[in-house]
Amino acid sequence: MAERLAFAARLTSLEAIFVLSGIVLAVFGGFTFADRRNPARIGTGCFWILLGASFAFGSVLPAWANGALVIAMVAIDGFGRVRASAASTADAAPREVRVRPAHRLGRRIFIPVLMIPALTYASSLIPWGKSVDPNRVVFVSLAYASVLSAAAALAISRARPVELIHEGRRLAEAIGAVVILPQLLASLGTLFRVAGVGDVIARIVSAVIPAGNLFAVVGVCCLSIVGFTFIMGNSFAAFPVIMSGVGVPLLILPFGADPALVGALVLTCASCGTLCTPMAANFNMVPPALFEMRDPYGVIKIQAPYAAVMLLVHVALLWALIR
Amino acid sequence: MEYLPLAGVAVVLAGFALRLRVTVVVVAAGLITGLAAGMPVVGSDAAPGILDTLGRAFSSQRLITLFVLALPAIGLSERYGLQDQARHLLANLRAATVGRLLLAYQLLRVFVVALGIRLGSGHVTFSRPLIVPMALGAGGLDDERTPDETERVKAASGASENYGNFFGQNLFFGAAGVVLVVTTLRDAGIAVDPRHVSLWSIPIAVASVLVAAGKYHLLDRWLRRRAARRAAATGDEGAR
Repeated sequence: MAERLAFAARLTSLEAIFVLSGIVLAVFGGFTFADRRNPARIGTGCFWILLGASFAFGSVLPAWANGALVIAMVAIDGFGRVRASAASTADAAPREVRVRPAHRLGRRIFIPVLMIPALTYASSLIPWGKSVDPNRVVFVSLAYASVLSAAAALAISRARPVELIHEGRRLAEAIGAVVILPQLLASLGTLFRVAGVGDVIARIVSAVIPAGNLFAVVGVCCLSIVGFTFIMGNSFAAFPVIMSGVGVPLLILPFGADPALVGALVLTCASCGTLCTPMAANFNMVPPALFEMRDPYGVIKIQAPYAAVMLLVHVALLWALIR
Repeated sequence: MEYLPLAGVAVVLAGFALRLRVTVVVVAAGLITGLAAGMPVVGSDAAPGILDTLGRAFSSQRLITLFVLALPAIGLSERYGLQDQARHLLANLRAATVGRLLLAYQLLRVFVVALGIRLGSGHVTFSRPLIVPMALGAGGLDDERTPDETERVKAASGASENYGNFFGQNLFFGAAGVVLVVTTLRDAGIAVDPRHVSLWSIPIAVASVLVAAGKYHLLDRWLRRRAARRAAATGDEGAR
């Protein structure tokens, strides 16, 4: 019994789903090797297999070896050898192939896709206890929901199982090397932190801020968290630095502002920076690739004017509510 | 010399501005940042190196990329007509414009995150399979849309996911952002109630939806004008 429980715990660990993802990515790579319609099948295949290795073995390899895997993937992309198959670009799929079965399947085809959020949510309703990391609940559920959803898609479409791999690979190749950007940029943020970039910026900001004038302090505080988030790509990295350097000593203490109010607004103000930066790749750079847009900066361009208005709203609200 | 750590930031900004290959720019910026800070390439127990800091950070961030597991199911569903079905959902509803659809989605997204529900990447699970094709099909104009109209509709669909997610998530008092506010202030010697942080997040959540509604309205108007111009052009040809 104890053995079985331990096995179940291993199967529902983050490690298990990393290995599962690694296998899926490596299988994509293997099929790419054999795909004669991919103009760079060797490079592309290597890229996906290296990414799979980084996923499956990321926790057991020494840190420098993980770093070397990253450098190798970026080198392949740098030489332009990560490409999509001519057979897998969106328009290549003959429209009849997509439309004809659609009449037969009708709206049942929504079931697999809706299963992923539904099952992930359902499992978050189970009381797992305080000792279980909420990240583990979300992501392990997401992984198994994806597997069940794939099974449902097979059952509904009566497709051959190998088609799952072909279709998954089609989407993965449409995203391309951008797939590693979110992890890469988060790593750069870590390097920035280790090298002390945050401290330098905080020093600059506190040197230029005009203490005492509420409107000026609010303005500089909002601008600096937006700028800092733009550089780091992550509001969570910027918030503690700006809050302890500017928010608390220059806004909360001298003006007696409500700390919950200042904290809440400064944090969402940082999101205005997130909306504008390619550094937040999972929000801004992956979607254009995923939606097969022509301009990789298309989402950022449409978000920037919105972010500018929201920044003004933050400044105005903070100033009006503290005054 | 004290500004030397910013060298990597300069590389990032220059690389993005010149539109160099992003992955290469990021790795170059990392190398330069590390060298400027005097880090060795491969570290030891005493001093972390550039290569191992990069590797450790990269593998500790694998959760962001787990969405690849959902790709086979979504891809197969697309092959069997998912996008066409999603397109048809709104094609016959004249009241369903792109802007109204995106506003409805953003409200739904705010509602979902405000309940503390986390579903991984909304761009993968909702936008690509459902919202983008529904937006492209809204108003039944799918086949007439020009590439730049399609491009803008796609971009706005991606943006609506971000707007709802970013400005709605702190409405849940257990959200990671609210926890960050509480712990940061606690470190500064100030005690705050997470529920107050959530309450003070309401004005911005409301403003974010209102500003977005304005943006969507402008998008609808732009699309309507383009469609009207197209109709006028084909009408001229018919008269000729």
